[in-house]
Amino acid sequence: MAEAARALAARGHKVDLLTTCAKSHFSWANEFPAGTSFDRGVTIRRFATVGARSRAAAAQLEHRVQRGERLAPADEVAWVNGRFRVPDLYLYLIGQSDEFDAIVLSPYLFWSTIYGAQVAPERTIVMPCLHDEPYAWLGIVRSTLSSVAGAWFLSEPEHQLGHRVAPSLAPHHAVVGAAVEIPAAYDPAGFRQRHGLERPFVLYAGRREEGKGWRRLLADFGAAIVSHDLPFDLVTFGVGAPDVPEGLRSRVVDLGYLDADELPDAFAAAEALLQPSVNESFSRTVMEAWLAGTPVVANAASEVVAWHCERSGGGLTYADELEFGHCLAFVAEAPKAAAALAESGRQYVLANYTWDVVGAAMERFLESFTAGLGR
Amino acid sequence: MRVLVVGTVPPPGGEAAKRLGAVAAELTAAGDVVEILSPDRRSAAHSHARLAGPRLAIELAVRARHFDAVVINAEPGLPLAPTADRLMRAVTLGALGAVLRGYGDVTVRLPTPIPLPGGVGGRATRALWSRATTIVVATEDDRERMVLAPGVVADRVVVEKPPARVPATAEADWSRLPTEGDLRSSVQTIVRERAARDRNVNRARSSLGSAGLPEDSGDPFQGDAGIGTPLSPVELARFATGRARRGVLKVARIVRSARA
Repeated sequence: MAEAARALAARGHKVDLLTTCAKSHFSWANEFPAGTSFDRGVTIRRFATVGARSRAAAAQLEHRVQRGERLAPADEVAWVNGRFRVPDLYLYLIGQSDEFDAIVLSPYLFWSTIYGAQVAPERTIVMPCLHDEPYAWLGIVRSTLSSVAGAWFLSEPEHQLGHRVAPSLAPHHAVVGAAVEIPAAYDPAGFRQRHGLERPFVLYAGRREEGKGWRRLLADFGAAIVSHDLPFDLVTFGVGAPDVPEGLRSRVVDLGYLDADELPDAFAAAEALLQPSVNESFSRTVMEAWLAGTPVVANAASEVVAWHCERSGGGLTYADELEFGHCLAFVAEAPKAAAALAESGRQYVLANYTWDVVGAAMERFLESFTAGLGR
Repeated sequence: MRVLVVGTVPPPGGEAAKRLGAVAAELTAAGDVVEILSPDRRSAAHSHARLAGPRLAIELAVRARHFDAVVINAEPGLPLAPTADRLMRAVTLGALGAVLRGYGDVTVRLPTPIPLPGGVGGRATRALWSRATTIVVATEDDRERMVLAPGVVADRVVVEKPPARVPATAEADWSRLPTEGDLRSSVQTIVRERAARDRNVNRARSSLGSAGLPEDSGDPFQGDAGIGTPLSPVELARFATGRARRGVLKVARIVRSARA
């Protein structure tokens, strides 16, 4: 959202970014000071978060949602309120909403989006970042996506999911995509040297947790290196404890949390990026890998990533551990063909997911959206 | 020297089996008398047996007086299944360490990652490692971990790196790739075909009974080795009580004949 705000500001629009004082989306603790600041043409207004009154009740509701249980409307509201709230942001929107031609809210499951959408729905666009997960099927999400005037989706599969979740989807909606920055240069050799990576490696970048497919990836990787006698290590960075089984520890390298300026080099140094996650609405790491000239091996169960791989010709998908093993064998045994795949991916990103392209799509949408409102 | 080689040798078992086959061939060429005992009945071995868990120790104990040396190739399921719990690990490795006293020379070969649930350390492995006259590992990392394990004598751990892959063989597998057009679809098709073939073989293997291989199993030597399941506690108890009963009967016979 911050990057989109800066991209629109760079195109000459006046943009205010309303956000919380939180740094972590796990704790929602107020770590930044509340107030106003300016960054690259964008006015940033931060508002303090307020926690749930009863953590036990919130946790119980969370479990019920995770189990896919149907909640009563009052319980759904309690669930939304049980995570974090930003009442000052809501009050600011009530007071100032008339100043804005359009209000863009994201993502779909946060209090700020669900409550913010109530303020001026006729001028609100929701960028939901939907995944096919239990939260998406809550009645309160359906009514939010139906009550606002516009919606921005990051991919066509997400757009289709939006229609399934909310049959009366916002009348103005489009797939605008998301964008990635193009690095000025890559230094894969320097990255390998800095981190002592002597063997070729495949990369997993992201949260090391069950929901992202990390454990399954470890099992599939272990089976693949034995079955195909692969030369690769698995290098990973991101949050969460990797918990690598002892038998695999000599083949898995955890780099912990990397600085943002290290990431392009990490993608460029890898032989392939592995994307085991099913719940993706866009998959930025896939785009960054392709930009760096690295092929992608992704879980076919992720509609979004499979869609990107098919459209771009830049990645392979696997349905099970056997296909996963053969995908990695291809990367090991046919490196030239793997590089050719990655080049297709790079061209796809440059054609669709740079800020020039995505910013223009957002701008075109906003022009027709605000024209329809007579503003 | 009479050498017992324990593990999967080709045709099944992939690169690891080929390496063990080469080890056996080298021993034969050096003048040793080699006999291969394999857990995979498709292996070109002298004999086959279920070797997971305490069964391996039993098989080795039975053969000990016929051999001077043993080479044990660790594989998934040999000696321990990936699902083996702590008790099974302790029983299996303890028994193995005990029966290896019957062999003058003991070589344990460990691929990477080392297929030993619970790792190479701990009390359970001490007897095994201390009996090993040579421990062959595949990487320097594995060597570093091995020398820290209790019972291991550092200079008995040697690194034998697997041979480099031969690209020419590999290239043939991807030779159908087009130089122009939809490269991704072609690769994806080959990946799916090869995985489907593996699935067929796995299905065929899981359906294998004493009658042998089904005719339509594709390449019957692809896929993992058919490792037997470890002894369950009930089987273990039956084995122990069976041996005890036979022992009692034997003593009774001796007493009867002495009285007579």
